[in-house]
Amino acid sequence: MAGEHLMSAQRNERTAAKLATGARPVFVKILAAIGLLFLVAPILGILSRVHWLSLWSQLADPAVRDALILSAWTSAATTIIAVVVGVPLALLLARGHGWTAGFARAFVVLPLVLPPVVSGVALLALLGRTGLIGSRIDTWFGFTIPFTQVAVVVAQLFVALPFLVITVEGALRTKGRHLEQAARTLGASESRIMWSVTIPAVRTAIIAGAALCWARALGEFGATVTFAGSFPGVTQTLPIEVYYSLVTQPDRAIAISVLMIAICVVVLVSLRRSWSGRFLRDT
Amino acid sequence: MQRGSLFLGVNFTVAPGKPLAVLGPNGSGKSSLLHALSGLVAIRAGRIALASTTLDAPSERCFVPPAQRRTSMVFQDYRLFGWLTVRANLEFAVRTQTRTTTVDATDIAELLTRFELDQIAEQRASVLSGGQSQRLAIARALAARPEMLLLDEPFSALDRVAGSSVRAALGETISDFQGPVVLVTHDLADAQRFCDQAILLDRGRIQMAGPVDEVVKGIESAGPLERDGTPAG
Amino acid sequence: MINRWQRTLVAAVLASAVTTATVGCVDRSGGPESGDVPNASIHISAAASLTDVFTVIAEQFELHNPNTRLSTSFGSSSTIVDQVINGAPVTALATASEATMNDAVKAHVIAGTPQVFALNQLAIVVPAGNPANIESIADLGRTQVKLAICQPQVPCGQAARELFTRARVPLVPVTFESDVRAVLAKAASGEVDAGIVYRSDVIAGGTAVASIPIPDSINVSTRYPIAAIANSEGQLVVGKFIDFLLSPGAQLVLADHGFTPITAKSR
Repeated sequence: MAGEHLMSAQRNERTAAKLATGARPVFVKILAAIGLLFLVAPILGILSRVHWLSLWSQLADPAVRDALILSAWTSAATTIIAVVVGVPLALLLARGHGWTAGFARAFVVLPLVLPPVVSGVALLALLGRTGLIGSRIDTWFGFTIPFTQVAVVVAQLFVALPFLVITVEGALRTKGRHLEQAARTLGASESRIMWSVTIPAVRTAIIAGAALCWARALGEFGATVTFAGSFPGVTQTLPIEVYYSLVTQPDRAIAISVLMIAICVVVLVSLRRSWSGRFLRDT
Repeated sequence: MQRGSLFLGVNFTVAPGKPLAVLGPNGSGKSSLLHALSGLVAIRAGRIALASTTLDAPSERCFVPPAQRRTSMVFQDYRLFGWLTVRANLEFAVRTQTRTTTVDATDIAELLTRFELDQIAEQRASVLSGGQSQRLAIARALAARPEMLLLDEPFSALDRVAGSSVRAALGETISDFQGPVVLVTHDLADAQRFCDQAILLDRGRIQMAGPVDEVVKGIESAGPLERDGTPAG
Repeated sequence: MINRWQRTLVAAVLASAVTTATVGCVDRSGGPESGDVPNASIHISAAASLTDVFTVIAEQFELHNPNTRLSTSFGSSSTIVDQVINGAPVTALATASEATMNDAVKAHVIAGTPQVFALNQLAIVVPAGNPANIESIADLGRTQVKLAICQPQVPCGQAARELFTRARVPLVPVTFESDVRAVLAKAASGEVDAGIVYRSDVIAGGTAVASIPIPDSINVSTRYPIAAIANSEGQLVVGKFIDFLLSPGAQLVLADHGFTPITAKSR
């Protein structure tokens, strides 16, 4: 009797809590479930195809190792360059109001919506051996960018830089302003404000933007394969390795896919824990 | 400040030792006035001067940027540098004024004690309570050794307990302050407590000016009292 | 009131989903299978190197058989075999090597036996004007020469490797492209000095490219088989198409596009 009473009391508390916060309508829940399922199911599909016992031997293959090292350092280099070039760009865009700023922003957004292959074609048109600038580099210095590791970084940078710029600019427009004003009244010079106030104020956005940029660079395929080509150890990144492996070594393709999923999950989870709390507190 | 907003015929002087209260409804231009005084916004006509130094005079093509005016501002939302400690926030202000990399520790220590921040000196500014935050904001404003002190509704975001501690700290500060003080507030009691003179702004114009008690009486007698200290209607 | 409306909406959505699914499951291959093939359409998945020639032959076939519709898609042989094995809705398969076709046969997706309809030989493709002055395959072994070949997982890549072994020239490409068309594109744009593709691809490249001959003694040939996909509709039409493919007219078209026509005795 007493047990029954307790259970119903608990049930009432839970329902009461739910009623208090308000429940979403049923059809919302159904649509949401469909959306979530759509995103989760393919990942489960990959995991179901994994041969867990041979996973390690697949990943230990020298070709996979080369691709992993190449992807790791090129995406890291891309991210570093993106921060060095992208934060200043975001700083300027955040202050700009005229049509020049709008113009510039359109170009920053463009790689986000361009198909990656098109980005690759554009890079070839500029930096390819017969390209606008590439042909001159070839004539004057005797080297070309395609088919080198530099080309991989260039391709990744073109498609991933906008992610960082947009993220940081958004934060600058909201958080940066007020604190800059306070610093100005305290007598700080503009350069002091930029280094000691503006940039620290948006550091979580810089980190988040860098993470997005890195993830995009790591997964870059279309522009890389078009502009940089594909050669093991030089330009054959992990995504290219997956694509080429699909044909005759599907197990290896699955293994690399699992590896990339694992890497991304680890990075996303560690970012969430470290920064989501602080992001809210530091406003 | 909205573009195109206008002050018409706003003309007043603030003498040291006679703090000025700026009263008025929302949108009357109180905050914009402070932004103009501090230099965060440039005026289009007229003149702002601190003692013999002109700060802003469009007709003379003179504009002193905010960083070079010796004015400090305390904001309603504190605007602390959350990633720095309490001490570091103060050091920031001292460093910018003295333009040196070394900081006189005694100045900082004195401010910490005066505003009861010494116990929390090494805590990050983002974890402070409302009262602590505003006390730090005032301390930081003073650390910059300003010649003019501007306060933009400093108590509005504080609850009663926090508000009383900040009011206590501010009272001493204002009475000791050597230069002009301008306090924007919607609380008539605060205006009377801290200030000598007052102006009532409405839509960019001065409706009333004079000793604070007279202005407050004028506001109260003009009609039903609204909470923001303006006559109704 | 609202709840009832929502419930009706949900029911309607579910009902339509079920209906669609039911419609999708209906087997549509129950049409009349007679000698005439009224309003039949088939889909052929073919190797990338057949892109231009199959489009032409398909048009000619449709002219000769007014009630049929032929649609084609192209990709590297290994990829299209993989797609068919994974259930792609294809009626016929034409690959650039017998090895890849055997993969399909082993996976039990082929009806009957594949038939070889053409041969193709490798060629060295260079950008128009031959900027790197390639004269023979031996030149491709020079380190300054930028060479593109297909990835080793596809027939063209394997054939290229075999070719260089026979020629005793070191194989040092700068890039492994996903299929012959990608190699051709790199050569046509001048990004590489030379590429290994099929003779038919050189023709397809038009004026943007030129080719350097390879001696027959070392050249690698690849045989192109075509087969019908098991359990697909339109098998009669596929049979007619294969006959058409082996007829003198189509074989001439193949020759025009750089393929080596199959002789009667090799069928």
